[in-house]
Amino acid sequence: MKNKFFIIGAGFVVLILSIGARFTWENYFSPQAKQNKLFEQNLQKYTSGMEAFEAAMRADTYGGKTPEETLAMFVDALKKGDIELASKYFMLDTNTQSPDYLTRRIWEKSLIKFDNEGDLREIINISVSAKPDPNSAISSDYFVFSSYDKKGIFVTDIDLRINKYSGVWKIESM
Amino acid sequence: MERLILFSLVLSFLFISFPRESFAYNIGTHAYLTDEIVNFYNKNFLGNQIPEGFRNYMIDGSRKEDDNIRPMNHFYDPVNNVGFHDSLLGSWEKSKDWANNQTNQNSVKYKVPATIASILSAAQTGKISGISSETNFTWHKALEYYVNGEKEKAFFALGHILHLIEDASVPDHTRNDPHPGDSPYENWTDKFKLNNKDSGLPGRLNGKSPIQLSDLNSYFDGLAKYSNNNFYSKNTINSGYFLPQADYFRIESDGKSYGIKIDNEFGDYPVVRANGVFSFNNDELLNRPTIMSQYWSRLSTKSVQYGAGIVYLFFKEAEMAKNDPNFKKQNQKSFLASIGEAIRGIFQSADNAGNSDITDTISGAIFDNSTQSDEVNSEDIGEKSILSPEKGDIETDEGTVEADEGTVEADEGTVEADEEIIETSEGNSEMDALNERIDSLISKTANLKSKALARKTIPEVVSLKTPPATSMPKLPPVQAPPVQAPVVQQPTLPPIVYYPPVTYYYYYNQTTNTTSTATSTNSSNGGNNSTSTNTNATSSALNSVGTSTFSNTIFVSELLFHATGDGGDVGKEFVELYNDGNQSLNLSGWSLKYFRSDSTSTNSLALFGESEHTADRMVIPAKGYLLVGLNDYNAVNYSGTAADILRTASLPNVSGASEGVAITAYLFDNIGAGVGGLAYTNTSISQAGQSLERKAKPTGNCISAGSGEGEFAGNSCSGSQSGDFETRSNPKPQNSGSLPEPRMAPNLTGASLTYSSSTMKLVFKWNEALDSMGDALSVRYEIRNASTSEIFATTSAAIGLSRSIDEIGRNYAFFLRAFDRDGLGSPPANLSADVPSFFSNLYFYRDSRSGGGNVVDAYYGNYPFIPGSYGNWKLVLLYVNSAAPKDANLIENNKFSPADNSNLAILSYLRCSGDGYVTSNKFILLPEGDHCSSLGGGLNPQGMSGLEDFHFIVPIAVPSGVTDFGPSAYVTAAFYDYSSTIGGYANFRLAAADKRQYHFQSAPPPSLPPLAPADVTLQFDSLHSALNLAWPKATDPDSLDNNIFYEFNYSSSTEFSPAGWQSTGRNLSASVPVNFPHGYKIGVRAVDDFGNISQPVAKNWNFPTNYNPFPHQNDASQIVGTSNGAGQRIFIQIGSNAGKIGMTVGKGAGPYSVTDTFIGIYSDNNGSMGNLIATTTDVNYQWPMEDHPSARSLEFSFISPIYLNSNSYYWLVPMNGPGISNTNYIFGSAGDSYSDGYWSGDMGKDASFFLQ
Repeated sequence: MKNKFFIIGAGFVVLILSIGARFTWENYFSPQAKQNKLFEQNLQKYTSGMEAFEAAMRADTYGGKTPEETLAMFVDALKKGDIELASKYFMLDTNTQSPDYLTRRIWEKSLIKFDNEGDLREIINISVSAKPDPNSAISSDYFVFSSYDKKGIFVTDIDLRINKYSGVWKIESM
Repeated sequence: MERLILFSLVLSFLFISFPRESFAYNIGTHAYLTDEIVNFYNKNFLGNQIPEGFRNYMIDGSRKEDDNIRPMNHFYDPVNNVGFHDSLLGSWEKSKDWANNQTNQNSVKYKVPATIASILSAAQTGKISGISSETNFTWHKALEYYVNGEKEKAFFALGHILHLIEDASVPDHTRNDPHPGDSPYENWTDKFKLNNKDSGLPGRLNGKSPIQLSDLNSYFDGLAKYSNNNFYSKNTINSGYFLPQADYFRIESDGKSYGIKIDNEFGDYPVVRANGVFSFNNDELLNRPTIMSQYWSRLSTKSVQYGAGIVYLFFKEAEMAKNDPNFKKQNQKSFLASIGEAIRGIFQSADNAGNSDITDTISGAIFDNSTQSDEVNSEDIGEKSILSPEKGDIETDEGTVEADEGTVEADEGTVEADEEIIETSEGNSEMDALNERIDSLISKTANLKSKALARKTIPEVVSLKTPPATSMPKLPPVQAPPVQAPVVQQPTLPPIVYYPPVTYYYYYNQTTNTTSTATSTNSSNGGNNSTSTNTNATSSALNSVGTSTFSNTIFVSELLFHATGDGGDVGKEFVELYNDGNQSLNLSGWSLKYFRSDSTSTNSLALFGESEHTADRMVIPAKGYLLVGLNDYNAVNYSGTAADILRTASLPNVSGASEGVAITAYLFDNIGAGVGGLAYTNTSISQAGQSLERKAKPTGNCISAGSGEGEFAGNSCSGSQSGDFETRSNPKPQNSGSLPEPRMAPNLTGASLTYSSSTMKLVFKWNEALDSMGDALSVRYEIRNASTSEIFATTSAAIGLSRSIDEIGRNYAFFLRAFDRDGLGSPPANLSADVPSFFSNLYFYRDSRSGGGNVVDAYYGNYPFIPGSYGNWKLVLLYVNSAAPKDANLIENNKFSPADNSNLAILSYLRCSGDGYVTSNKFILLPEGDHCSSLGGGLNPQGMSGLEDFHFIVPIAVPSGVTDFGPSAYVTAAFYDYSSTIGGYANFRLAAADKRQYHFQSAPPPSLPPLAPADVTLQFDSLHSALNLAWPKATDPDSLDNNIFYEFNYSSSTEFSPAGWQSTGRNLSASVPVNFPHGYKIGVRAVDDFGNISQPVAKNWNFPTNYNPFPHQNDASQIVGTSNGAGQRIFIQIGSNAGKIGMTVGKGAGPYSVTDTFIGIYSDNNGSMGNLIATTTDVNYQWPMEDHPSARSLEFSFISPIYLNSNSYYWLVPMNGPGISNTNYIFGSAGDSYSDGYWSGDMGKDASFFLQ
């Protein structure tokens, strides 16, 4: 009888140990466990990355409620020589693989360079002379100004896009 | 279980509340594309259409694949074979794996409440209610539903798969571009929904067929490559991927320049927009309707073609699965596995629920959201739950709602019909009919050879090329045939009978002569190969000696027992078998063993087809191979060649204590008869890593199978020949999927090479080649440099490619070969193309013109002779005595200086504007247009003037340290094209470097003379008895027209005196004095700056008829018209009648007038005025009293002509008429009369006379 209890007890212990071993394997060492871990890491990255994205976009309130207004504000800043302010009317870089992600460094650097070379006037002239080009916008979220010289030669487009998070229009490219 | 639910809710909150952005087509666009896929499938498979009642399940499934975090697995980059990966947003599974990964899709991580509302009606939802919490919508699961008769669920899951293939058509998804919220393509395509369809899509699909491929992965590969290779995403323009590249640039009607890609299927299209004259940050852009519409028209069409092909594949595989007992087995979990999973789930949820970070995020909002999700109705149907920038909202899009409502209403219309189908399902329901039709389809297509499927082409990598989709068979409605047996190709046993005893071959090492101790009796010759040799023996251990011989069909053809590198032999040992017969053989029951010469025991390596090895592939094809992988063989070590039979047993190495021991690997058939083998010792290979391979015997003699003629000629060298085996340093195991040997190489024909000067590309073309199995898809083409044999380009499944070049002025020579998938190549096709320089010629010589020096005289064709894409500004750099380097970019603010400017030629040329002539430029800036641009600004002051006659001549300085150029001196050139303006400075990129050497010559090349002026006009100036000559500008075919000088000549004879040519410089007029009554010959000619003289343009001239040759009194110094009657004395050389007298009054210092005047002629009296001979009539004419700015003339006529004698003097005297009492005949103002013949301050030039 004693042996019977012993055998049953031992069997129970073995069962528990087996379950425990399986649990340990499947939750910490199995391919599925590793995949779950990777998933959680990715999810964490994704969540924090998108939160940062939204926060940056919401905080980006420089610009007008219309494309014309933003362009005028940009020109005014240039006329005053306020490069820092002028650069803020550009859209944040949304290329997640760029070192300049969620910054406006590229625009700021370019403006500083133009300023150092005395060429801000050229940007102002182009910005002032550019005309709305509704046929070039791919949707209502976009707005395009096109600039041509007196001979009709295409000079450049100024693309604006609305920042849906903050509701202001931003210069996307020039 | 409660904790599990709690955990799910936690996650659901997490998913719903964290910020999300657009990562795909809008779900409305997915719905629309899926709808079109159903239409297109039904149109192409009239006899097997998808019943209308299932359409919405597919649409809904395709919408809901975007639920929660699933979209992160919707990326597939076929170039790098990865899913989405990003240091900021994590690394996710590629979509083609996600479509098959049940484990991942079943993960509790995805088991969160749906946030995308359904478009299904309540009745429809009820039919799939069992999967409301399901997240496994893999391909396999869809098949499983279908096999189990759960059609609605099957189509719902299939919709998920279609979503994934639709996303593979989005460039952002195949180029690893997450683009949070600003994908131009997805923003533009957002408009296409069920209630706003693309009216052009059905038209584009006309004449096209569903793409038909052999498996699901091929669909992902094909479409992903198409979208990756031919389209940009916003952040991957010229970044991260080699393709696409614009083939040429074109300015469209909006005046803007677009990069155009050649497309033979849909027509050329803009792939990117270039910058304008001004560029702030040098961004090339996509976001233009002109571009996006072209992207969509191609990608949507392909998406539907591929999607319809997938639906076809689904039905095909589903029917096969129905009859596959293994399919159902795979879906059954063991009881223990289920228990284990349940326990794991409990612990896992407990573990996760205990995570305080996650728990802390729980709020009532999750229940609100759940409620919202559960209570969604038609008005709540949103399309952007994952797209919304607002947390937790299920955004409502009214326009979409209308569309979906419409769909829902339609569904409701079909609900009753569906119910009826169910009610009659026990009889001959619609689904049964569908099943029967599909059964029929499968049975009809079962015999389609795999190669027919494999012929579907994936777009090739370089040039845009449409997969040559084979038309799907249009299957008519058919009677339901009996269910066919599973379509499995069973090998037919060859007509070979094995009788024991058998004669078989094995090998022993001659050095150790260990064969005699092996398991057979050596009865034949030994070889003399240093490693092993062939001995014909009969078995004694396994069979008794007999007379029947074994038909020598199966060989041990290659064996590796001792590998090298990390891990030693693990994963690398194999035995390869070769079937020399013409029939495939099923080797089930065969075995592979080995014996040691120092032991009598038998060691099993593999028994083929053991019950626990269900994955064994045992059919060895005719002339094909079967691979037995040993010691955890890993295909990674052999270019992915998988073992057909995989075992853990290992072949012994024979080193150390085992040296000298012979190991015999031996093959036995299914009745235990020995078939053949191979013995080896430690000396069989010279170094670890070598395999032993049986030689080929294509024509009677054994030759090496490692290279040359025998490389693809099988491995059937056997018998009494010595040296049947050889060592192979690069082992190359082949398996049952390998192509047969010997076989024909791919038939490469129609190879050509041309050079496209407009795109600067070498264009290779050839006809599609087929391998020996008739397959074109797996044929690889390889182009090698003819001189270096280096690989220039490779491609697969293509009929051509093009490659940009940056060296010109040279010949390109290649050889092209087509290889089948196992490496057998066609004979090379030699290809060659001459790529000319941009200069048609260039002369480098000592200038013979005034000023001397040395010049470069470069000729070209049409301007601009440097092809380019952005603007017409071009840059030429010349290098002295060195090859032009290929600096990629030159920038204006660095004076366009390359990194190494030590050999740059110093040039001089006249600029278009600015500071004129420059004397020390190290570049030539060629202006827009073939002359200086009128645009001004920017580069114009630097631009070169003097482009004419398709060439320019520029002085070149002798480099410092060099006395002068000699015959060995030469120049080379590099050409650049304007690319952009960055920060106000022009940026040029390399177009090409000219490899030609233009050598110096001491004299100019022959040059052509200028053309004579087109005409010369002659105007007789009778007043001065002179001819005024004028002519238009002449031209010169090879020098500047502005440098032409002109010379004139005149002669009263018929010939010009050579010395009579007088130069006018660059003036286009001259005056020649003429004397009456001679005739004259007048000529003008042009002289260029090299001294070349044109033929003269000449005319003869005579005095006009009735010309009165009276002298002209040019000199008015003599007194005329004075009050005392004084006049002007004239001399008549030739006697003649005078009919008129003209009087010209020169411009004076003040106003004057003439009133009532006539002229009298007086005789001469030794220098004094004599008697009046005659008077003219009175000219009652009055010049007003005014200031006369120029000379004015009056004519006075005689009533009848007066003859004046030759060689006589006369006087001409102005006289006052009867109405004038004043003695002044010409009146001046302010008392300054003309009585003295002139006005003060203008003496001698006041008046003159002439006679006519």
